[in-house]
Amino acid sequence: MIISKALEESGFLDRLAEELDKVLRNEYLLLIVVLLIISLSSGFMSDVALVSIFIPFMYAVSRNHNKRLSKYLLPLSYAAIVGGRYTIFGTSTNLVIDQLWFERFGKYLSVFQFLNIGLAIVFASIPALLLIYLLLPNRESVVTSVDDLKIGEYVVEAQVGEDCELVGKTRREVEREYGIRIRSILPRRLSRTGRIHVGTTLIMEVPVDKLPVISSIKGLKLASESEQVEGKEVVEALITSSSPIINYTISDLDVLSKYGVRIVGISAGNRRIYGRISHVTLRPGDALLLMGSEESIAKFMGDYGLVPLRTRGARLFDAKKGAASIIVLMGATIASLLGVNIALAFLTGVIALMLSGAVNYRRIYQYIDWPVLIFIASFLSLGYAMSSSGLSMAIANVLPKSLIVLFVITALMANFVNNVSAATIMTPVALTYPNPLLAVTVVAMASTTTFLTPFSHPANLLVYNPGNYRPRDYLAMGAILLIIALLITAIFTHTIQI
Amino acid sequence: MGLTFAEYYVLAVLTLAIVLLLMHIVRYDVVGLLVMALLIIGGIISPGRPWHLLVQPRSWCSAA
Repeated sequence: MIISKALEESGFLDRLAEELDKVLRNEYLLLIVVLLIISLSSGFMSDVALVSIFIPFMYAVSRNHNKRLSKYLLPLSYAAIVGGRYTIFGTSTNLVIDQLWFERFGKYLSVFQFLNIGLAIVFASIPALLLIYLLLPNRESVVTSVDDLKIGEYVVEAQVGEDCELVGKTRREVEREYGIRIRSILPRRLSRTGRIHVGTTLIMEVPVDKLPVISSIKGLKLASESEQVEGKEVVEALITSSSPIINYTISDLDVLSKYGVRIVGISAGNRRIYGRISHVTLRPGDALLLMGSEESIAKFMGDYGLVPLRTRGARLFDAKKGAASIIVLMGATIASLLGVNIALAFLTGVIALMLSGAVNYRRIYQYIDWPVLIFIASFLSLGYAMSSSGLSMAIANVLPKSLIVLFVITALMANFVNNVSAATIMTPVALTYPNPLLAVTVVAMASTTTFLTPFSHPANLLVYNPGNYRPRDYLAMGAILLIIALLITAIFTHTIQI
Repeated sequence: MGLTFAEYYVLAVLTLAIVLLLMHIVRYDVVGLLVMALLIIGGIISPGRPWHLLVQPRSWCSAA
């Protein structure tokens, strides 16, 4: 998670997409290359992060080719989901399977255990994604001019804590030092002294490229103690003309208690904001800075029709960080292949990134998706209990010993319940099959086919509103990819020794 | 074919987990913790098992 986050923050993929757009003028060729890059990157990066990075790129492509955004976003989401399966650490379901395999046989699977079949599904899916692109309706998008939007600066509200390095400094000193503008200091009676005090709230105008600087100022809290959120992901989101939050204020929405997401900043065009941002009435075209976990932000944005907006300036290209992340990722993967303990290899990589300065050690904990880790670890108990109690054997005795049936049940569970649950419940059953390796390969491939509903994967939810999709689009288009994954899996498991 | 008490218990916990995940009443990580607690209370797994699974270093290598 940490290495993947460093790579995401480096802006490497954003730059790569921009360069590809300049070089490749043929739309189909551009789509094939970009979808392939997304799928292959997904083996090492978070699917949601990849989709967020490439949504603005898809806006640009849709504009250049005079087509609607609905043509591009679903293939983008599917490409990110389809790719994660070919490495053990590319998706959480593979790690669940790996752990349950270890519990049963006392040894882990290889890092690239599913490489052959995973890559076969990726390569077979690319033409299918092009077909989906052709079949998708040219539906009117909720946003047509996002590419023209220039979100220059956000108004951010922050609380000065006791150990804050800004305490005692004058307004002008802070403005000069950090390249921001302080619009007001609240409460106003404390601002008369001219210096910043503990407990005051700063209403700041922050240029997009200075946002990371502000968030790393010691003791300056973007969320007060009572309003802390679990994740520390920060996402820029655009309010579209069809969003139901128009004409409401941030305090009306109560996003924090409903979603666990905090709105830490707003870009409201020409309107001047001097008071608390929670009192600002929201208008179409305003952009919000959201803080929380990736999943809760995706849900909030999906429910309220917000469009993720990764402006170019928000993440400047950091060549050193990008190169360091890629080298570390490759080094750790090669070391794992050569027999080094995978955890040791990646831990060494993270330490190398910290020593090189590519990753700030203070932010390491923020990079980790704790709810996912807790869920995997606690839910694995169920898989273990199913094996040790004998329930997995009892279920296996009831089910026909067909790998296709195993695939279909796992895929349906992954789509309509949860992918980790599907892997946790079906792997102990698969381990009772005559050829357990073939059976767990089927479970691994099926549990990553979360294409059928907007809610089966956060990446699907992220493109739901911007693409103006209907649930039936997911069902129809997802079924194409599901069938391809099933066919490739069937061919591999019946003809090729994995 | 009759199931043992342990099998029935795990099946009940499994069903509860699926229902909770389908209904989205509580967050998925809370469902995981609830499942783990029920399995410990039912004597199906030892209290040390979830901790063992959590600190398995390989689980920490997820990119997703």
